[in-house]
Amino acid sequence: MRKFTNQEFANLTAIHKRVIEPPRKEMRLIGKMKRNEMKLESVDDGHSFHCFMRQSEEFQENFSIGLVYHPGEEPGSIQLLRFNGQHGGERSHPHHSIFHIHTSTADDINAESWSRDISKRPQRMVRISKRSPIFWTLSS
Amino acid sequence: MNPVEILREQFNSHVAVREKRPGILQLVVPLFHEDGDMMDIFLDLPKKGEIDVPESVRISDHGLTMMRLSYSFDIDTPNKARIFRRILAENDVTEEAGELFVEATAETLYATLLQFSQAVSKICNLRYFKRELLSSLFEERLAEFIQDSLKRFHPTQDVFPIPDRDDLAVDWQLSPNGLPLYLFAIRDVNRARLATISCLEFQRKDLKFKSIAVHEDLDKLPRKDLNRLTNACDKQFTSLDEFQGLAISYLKREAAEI
Repeated sequence: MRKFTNQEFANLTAIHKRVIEPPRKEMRLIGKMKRNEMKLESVDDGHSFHCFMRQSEEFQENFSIGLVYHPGEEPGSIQLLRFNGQHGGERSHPHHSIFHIHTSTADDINAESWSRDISKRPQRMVRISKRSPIFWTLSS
Repeated sequence: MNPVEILREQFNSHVAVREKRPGILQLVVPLFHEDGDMMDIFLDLPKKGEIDVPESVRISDHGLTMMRLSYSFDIDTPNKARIFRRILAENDVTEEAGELFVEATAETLYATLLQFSQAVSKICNLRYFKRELLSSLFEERLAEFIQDSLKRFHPTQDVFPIPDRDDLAVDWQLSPNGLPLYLFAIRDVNRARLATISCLEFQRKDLKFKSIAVHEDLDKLPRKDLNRLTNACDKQFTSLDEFQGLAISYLKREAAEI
């Protein structure tokens, strides 16, 4: 079973990517969320990614933009990053709604048998941002 | 009584609220998702701001659970929808246009809130249910179909065509025409690889047989694994539903070949 390192995740996040399937011009409204997606590929060595975008139709401050990596040799994916709006508290700041970023750590991913799972979630490393962070600069 | 005061009392003061919108209070309670985000749970207040017995107050997620789930999982097959509906039913949660909610009275507010949070947690972890439940459902349903509908083709389960190779198992053997037909249930990439290896080894040993693969979901296999299996295996069915629809006519044609 493949093991990942944090350096690998950082590289995958930072590597230059190109859009191979662009998002729709408009977000799609499904139920109470608006959603959009796009597929990406790293410029140099063909790593596959997709980016998801979600926003609550009722509460605009509840949004998520995530970068997901598809290793390819087995089914499944890893959510490298997720940018969240001021949706409500989280464990380190339960009483404050703040912009924040979830990132995966290698320990969390490697600790679970990810090859049996459909996807892994970025979990415990949460960075707080005082303002809405810039997704594109960070990840490409 | 004010539902917030009721909850505070019932929660032993470990609850706060924040007005999300007029008439919609976001609960600040120590209920977290695995990624550390607090669960998105709201109270939709009655217009007058208080609940009197037997009135109820709505506990809702305002669609945010399904939004969270959609980051990595879509309910896009009948099986997934069935499991989703089962979780809702088991927890008395209603879903409407992507919003999950329950109605609670003053007496039941605390217990209903906890029940709701459990349902939210299960739904957010639906992909894990899929791995366990759908895999077992697939093989169960395949076995049921073979045993009920393909009896005339003499099905035998768990066959080892090479006696000293107990690592090369066939899920089902059918005999439409005297020549063994080895059926492999392909639920994931590991099973696909094993089926490929098995077929190639049987061919190498010059065994007389034909092989078919029944996929749980062909689209989930990586392309290279699918290509290898396609080259090794004689016939594939892209899903259990397709196999159920086509197996009998296919096997009859096989039987008629002799």
